Amino acid sequence: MATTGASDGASAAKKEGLVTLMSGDGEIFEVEAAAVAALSVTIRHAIEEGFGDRPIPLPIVGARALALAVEYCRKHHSLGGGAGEDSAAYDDELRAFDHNLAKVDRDTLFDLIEAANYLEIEGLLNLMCRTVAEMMKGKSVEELRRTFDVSNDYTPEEEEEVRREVSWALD
Amino acid sequence: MKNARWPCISDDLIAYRILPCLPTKDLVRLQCVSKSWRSLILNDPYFARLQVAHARSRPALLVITDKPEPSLYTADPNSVGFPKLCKQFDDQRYWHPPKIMASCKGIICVSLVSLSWDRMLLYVGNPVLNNWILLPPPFDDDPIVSIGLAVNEMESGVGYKLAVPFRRYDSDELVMEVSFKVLASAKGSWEISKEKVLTYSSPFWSFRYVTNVEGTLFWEHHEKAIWFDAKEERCGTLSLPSQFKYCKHRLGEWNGHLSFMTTENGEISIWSWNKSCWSKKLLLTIEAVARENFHFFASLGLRMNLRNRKSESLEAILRRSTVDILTFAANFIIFEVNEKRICYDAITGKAWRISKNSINRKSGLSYVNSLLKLTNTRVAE
Repeated sequence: MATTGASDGASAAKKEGLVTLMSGDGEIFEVEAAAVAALSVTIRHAIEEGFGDRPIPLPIVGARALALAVEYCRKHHSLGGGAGEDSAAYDDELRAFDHNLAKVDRDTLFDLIEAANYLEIEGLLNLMCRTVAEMMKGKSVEELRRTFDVSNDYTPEEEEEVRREVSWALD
Repeated sequence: MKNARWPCISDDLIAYRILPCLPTKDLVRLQCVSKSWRSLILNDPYFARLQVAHARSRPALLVITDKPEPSLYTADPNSVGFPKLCKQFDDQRYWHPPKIMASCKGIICVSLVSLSWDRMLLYVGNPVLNNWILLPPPFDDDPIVSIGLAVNEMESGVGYKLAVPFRRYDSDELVMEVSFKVLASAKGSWEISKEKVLTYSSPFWSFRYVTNVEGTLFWEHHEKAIWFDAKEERCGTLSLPSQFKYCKHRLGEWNGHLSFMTTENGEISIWSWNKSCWSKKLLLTIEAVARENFHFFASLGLRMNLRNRKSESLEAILRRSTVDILTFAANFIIFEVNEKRICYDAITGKAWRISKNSINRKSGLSYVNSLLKLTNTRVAE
C-alpha cells in the first residue's frame, strides 16, 4: 500500500528495488522485485543468480500475459503476503481481483496458464487451471477437442463403444 | 500436431493441472475425447491421486434408503454419480439389492445378502469404474452389522483396510472386551487385531454406526466411542459429551473432526472432539435457515409470518416446531421440521425440501466421487 505514492517519484530512485523483465516479444517491464520474487519462483531464482541489473529474459511469455501476471503478483503481494487461497489475509478484495482476472478471453487464459507455469506462480496457475476446468463442464466432446486441439484417434466403432460404456454420465 | 493459430496449453498442464480439477462424472464423459485422455483418466494412478485430492474438498452426502440405489446430495448434481449399483451386480439374481456399508475416498464396501438371508458376500471397489474385489468371508458366521473402511493412496497403488468390531469376551456382567476383525489389502485375509479395548457391557450393545475421521474409525457404543486407528491398528475408547444423553444426537464426521450433532429449541449444535476434549458450537438455528431460504420456508406454510416480517410469530412457530436430525455428513444435514424433510448445505446456507423416502436414521455417509482404482487383486483370486 505504501508503494502506491512512489509511482511518479524521482527516476534517480528507479533502480532501487526494481527488476527488469523482458517478455518473449521483447517488451520491457520494470517491476518491484519484492512483489514478483515473492510470488514467482522463476524470477526469485533469476534475481538470486544475479540477474538483478540486467533484464531477465522470459522467452515464452508474451507481453500481455506478463503484464497480467505482474499485476497478479503486485496485488497478491500487497494484500495477501503472497499466500494462497488458504491464508486468512485473503480478503474480499483479492477474491474480487481473482474473479475479474479469470474473466479474460480464452486465448489470454491459455497464455496466462503457460506464463504462470513458466514463472512458477503457483496461485495464478491454480486459479487459471480451475477456471479452465470450470469452462469445460457441460461442453460437448467435439467442442473440447477443438478447444484443446486434440485429434480424435478413435475409429467410429471404438468411439461408439466408449460412448456406450459411459452413457450413464452423458445425460 | 498442434494448431499454430491458437495458443495451446501443453499436454502436461492439461493432464495434471486442469483435468484433475474436474468432477469425476465429467471426466468419465471426457474419455470420449481421445485414447490418450481415456488412458489418463482410467489408468494413471498419479492423475487419480490428484483428482481425489480435489474431489475431497467437496464430498457428497450419500444416503442409503429403502430403494436399491442410494440418494446423493451434492453441491453439483450433474457432476457426481456412478452407474446403477444393481446393474453392476446384476448377475446376482438370488441376492437382495447391494447395500453400501462404508465409503472412503470413492471406494465403497458393498454387501449382498441372499434372498433367504443366510449368505452374505462382501465387495470393495469403485462404483464409478465398476471395479470390484470379492472379499473372503470373515472367519465366523456372526452377522456383520457395520464395517469401517479406510483407504490410503500409495505410490504402488490404492490400499484399503476393513475393520469389524466384535465382542470377544465378557469378564463379568459389566465389562466386555472388544477386538476387531481386520482385513488389509496387503494381506488379503481376515485377522484379529492385536490390541483390544475394554468397555461397559450393555444389553443394547451393537456397533451399528461407524464414522471414518481422517483414517480413524469410530463406533458409537453406550456413552462412549470406540475407535480403531486403521493405519497403526491401535484402538481405544473416548467418552462422549455428558450432555448428549438428554438430546437427540448422532455421531459423525464434521469438518475433519469426530462430531456429535444435537438439537434443542430449534437450534442445531455441533460437538467436536479436539484431541482431548469436546467443544460445542451453535451450527444453525432453524429461524436463520428459514430467513435465508424465504421461498422454501414459505412453501412449508410459514408464509404469512415471514412476509409480514413479524419475527416474533416466526419464532413462535419455530418454537412449536420439532426438529429432528436424520443424518449429517460432508457438510450436509438432513433434518425434519414438523415432519417436513429438509436437506441443508452448511457451506452455501441453502436448504431444500426432499422427498420422504425412508431414510434409516444414521444412514448417511460422506462420499467422494473418485477414479481411484483398487489394484490389489490378490483377494479376489
